Amino acid sequence: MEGRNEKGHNVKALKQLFPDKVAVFTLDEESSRRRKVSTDYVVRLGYDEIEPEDVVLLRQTLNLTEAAVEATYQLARRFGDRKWIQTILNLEDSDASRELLEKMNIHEATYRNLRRDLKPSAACLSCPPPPPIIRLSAS
Amino acid sequence: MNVVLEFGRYTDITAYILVANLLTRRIYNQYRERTEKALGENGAPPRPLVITIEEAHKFLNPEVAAQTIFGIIAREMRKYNVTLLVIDQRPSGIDEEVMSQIGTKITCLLDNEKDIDSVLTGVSGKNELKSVWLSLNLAAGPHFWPCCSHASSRQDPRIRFGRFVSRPGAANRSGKPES
Repeated sequence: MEGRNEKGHNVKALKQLFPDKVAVFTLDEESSRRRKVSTDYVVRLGYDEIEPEDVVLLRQTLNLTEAAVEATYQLARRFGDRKWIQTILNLEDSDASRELLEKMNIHEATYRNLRRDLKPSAACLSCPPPPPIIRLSAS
Repeated sequence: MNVVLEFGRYTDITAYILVANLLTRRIYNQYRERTEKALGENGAPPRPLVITIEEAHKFLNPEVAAQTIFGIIAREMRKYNVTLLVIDQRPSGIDEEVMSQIGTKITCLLDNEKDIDSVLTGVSGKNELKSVWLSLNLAAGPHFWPCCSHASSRQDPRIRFGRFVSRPGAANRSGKPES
């Protein structure tokens, strides 16, 4: 898709200039479609791709406390690198969940901070399970 | 094959950081495996790779540099044929140890003392370079900061220095030392 340079002139996209050498991937299929960009692949990022290290980098932008970041490592150790986010997002608001957090020395407020910022739409403890995993699929 | 990744609606910095980190982690693992395999089998090492990161302080600030993949690459990935090209307008936000590992630095005008000191971390002849710098600042005036991509062709001072630069000092647009 053509873009515009700083002077307002149309500029060809890399894909137009080198069609055989450039592949366009998109994280947002809908937006690409609206802009009539022809994409080669759709990329979906799922919870199982996210590791505690990613959360460390996002601490400031997600406004997470240090305790919440620490908790991600504990949770990953307990539930595994691929399942920890999904597990905490699926935890029910129950005595069993509170007991589990207590056993792991994770304060409930810390857990709520983490949960809220990793999945802004998940304001409650009884949210539906998250969508499936990141996959790379041909569009 | 070259890949262009469209972010679409996900334009905030969170998406950029997350995707950059995921991709870089995979690259790191692949390159480490391939290099180790090449060593074990006396084969060819993987093709040298340069990973470029904008807003580098988001990935390399002192709080995170020790724990993240970018910090690891900055410190030890040269042996796996991977290097970092770090771009930032606030170098003082980057971890000191990482700054000292950067082999070659090219800098345009900086008017913040902390940023200047940070770029000169671990550089010999620091004071001389600093005076060259200040003279560039005076010559170009504050309206050219931060200049790199937008400065005019005539007044676009920059200096370069580091392990792979034989003559540190002011450079012209082609990157060659000014006579």
